[in-house]
Amino acid sequence: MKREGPVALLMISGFLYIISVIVASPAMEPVAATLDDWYKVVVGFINLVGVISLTQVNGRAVLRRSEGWFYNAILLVVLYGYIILGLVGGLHNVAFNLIYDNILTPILMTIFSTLTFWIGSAAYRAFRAKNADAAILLVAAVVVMIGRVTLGSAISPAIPKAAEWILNFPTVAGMRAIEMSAAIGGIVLALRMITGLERSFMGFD
Amino acid sequence: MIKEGMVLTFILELIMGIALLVVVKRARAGKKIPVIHEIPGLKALEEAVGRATEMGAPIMFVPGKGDLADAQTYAALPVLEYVAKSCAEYDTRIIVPLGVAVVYPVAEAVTRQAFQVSGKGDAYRETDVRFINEQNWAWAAGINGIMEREKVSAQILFGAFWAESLFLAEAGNRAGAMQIAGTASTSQIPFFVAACDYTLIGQEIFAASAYLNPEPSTTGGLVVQDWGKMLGLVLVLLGSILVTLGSNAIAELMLK
Repeated sequence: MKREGPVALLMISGFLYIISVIVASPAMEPVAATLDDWYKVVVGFINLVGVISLTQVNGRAVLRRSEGWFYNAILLVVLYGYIILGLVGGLHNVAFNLIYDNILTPILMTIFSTLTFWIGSAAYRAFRAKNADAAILLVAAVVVMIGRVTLGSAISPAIPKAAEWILNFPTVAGMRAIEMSAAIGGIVLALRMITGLERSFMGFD
Repeated sequence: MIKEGMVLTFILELIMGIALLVVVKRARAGKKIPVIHEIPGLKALEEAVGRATEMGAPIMFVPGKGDLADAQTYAALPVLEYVAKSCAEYDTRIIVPLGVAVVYPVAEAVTRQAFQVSGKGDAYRETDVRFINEQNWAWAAGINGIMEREKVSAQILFGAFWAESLFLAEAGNRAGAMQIAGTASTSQIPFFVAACDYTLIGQEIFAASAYLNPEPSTTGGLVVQDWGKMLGLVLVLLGSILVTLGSNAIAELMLK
């Protein structure tokens, strides 16, 4: 029952969801919305599991005085401090929002901005013309990059047009092929799950 | 009865559902089904575990940033199961940093089960499957930190990724880790191709389960997946020809 129960529940809810999306019936109308709401409730509750995981990993590091335990301690203080601040002062609490807007957001944006440099190093490796494929990639990338700035049209009006063509035709064709095949893969995976053929995600075969 | 715009979806899903059950039944009866071609990126998973074992360093498995409503997350879990089993067999440590709380208990159950099935339940470290953060940059920074501190030998990135994909892959590259990625997030594929040793593109990640665990239900699913692609290709070609001849029949069928 420990195994059959979840599989049966998945099959029933999966079939109900598909029917409610496809069939136009007032009786089926609220099914998908209700299942979506249940999912949101479960997700909200499971955030607590995430907090427990963070506490376990970082608490253990602090108790064992592992290397860098001080940072684990800071994480725990910040985690629980911010939870308490939110619970006591509410979401419109000035300090709560001040920390979010003026400390957390700039830190996250700083990490985001480092992406510029990562793109540079990745592009350098990808655009080295080691073989015919890489050479085509290099030529296409140079045309697109130059074609998207004023330098492209200053050199020749054909360059921006070539850049547009590369973006609108070969790129879109390739992307749509990948998207279509992935969507079909997703449909088959979903069918395997709701027919009970795929169970690996449940932690048992 | 059927909602507007859903007729073709309903027909295709019905055909694929019936085909799946028929092919799986045939495969279970021992009848011949097509052979699965090799995917280099999946074959390289063994190499990644071998490398980690030789170096005595851990492997990092990142199951993407998708939640449990994302098919890519489910495609990543059988790969996690396979890698965790291999790691358990060779006494190699596996670290699974999660950026979605709802995926955490599932990934934890899959990894724990993989260790137990391999007879190494005691070797499973519950703090190695850990939740980092829901915010993608904080999650990516956390993974970067683990990569540097633990001297990870191989990084496997499987599932749905967004802007953090290059951050993760370049961090792995800088740390000298062998990297295998797989995603159907089209905007992130170029970054993985540029930064990783092997990249599985689009539907290949959904084929992973059949390749790593070849049994009737998985190989049958892969066969139906290929038939679905062929059917899609036929519809595209037919639609293109008909539009060229001045008919919108296929487009109209899709809107019904």
